[in-house]
Amino acid sequence: MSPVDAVAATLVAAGALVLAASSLALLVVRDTRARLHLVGPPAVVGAPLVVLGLAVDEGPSRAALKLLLVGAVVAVSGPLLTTATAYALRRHREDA
Amino acid sequence: MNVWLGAALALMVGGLGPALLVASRGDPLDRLVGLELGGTVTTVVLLLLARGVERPSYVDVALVLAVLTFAGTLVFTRYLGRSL
Repeated sequence: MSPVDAVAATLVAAGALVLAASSLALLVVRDTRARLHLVGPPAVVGAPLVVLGLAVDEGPSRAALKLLLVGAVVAVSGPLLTTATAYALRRHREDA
Repeated sequence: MNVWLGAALALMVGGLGPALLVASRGDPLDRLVGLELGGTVTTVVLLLLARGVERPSYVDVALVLAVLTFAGTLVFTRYLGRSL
């Protein structure tokens, strides 16, 4: 296994671990407001780590740029979705 | 069956499974959180699958899903924040 392969594999494994841990934590954490905390890290940390690993494995190319674009879209959307859900939660709870 | 497909499988079981479980029961906003996490995990699973079957063009599917998950979930948050 070359060093590049090792770096790529480590990055992808780390990202996948963050994603799986956040998802499994959904089963443990029950409160909705606390569950909102679990939406951010997969999008901002997990997915970009996996994308970085895949891009390193790809090498400098246009395909790697496309991968990084996907990672950027996911990373930007994560915190926005968390905030939007928090607003909806506050309004939903006020009406209820 | 290579490393990438194995990682995609592990993510599907460990990541999508709980997200789908949470998205199928409970309060609407709990389900929305499950949907958001499911969307993020699915995007990454698609990227890993694209690498696993060695078809770079499949990354476009993941890109479209990332954008649509974002827009679609925002629609749900607006709807849930207003009615109910």
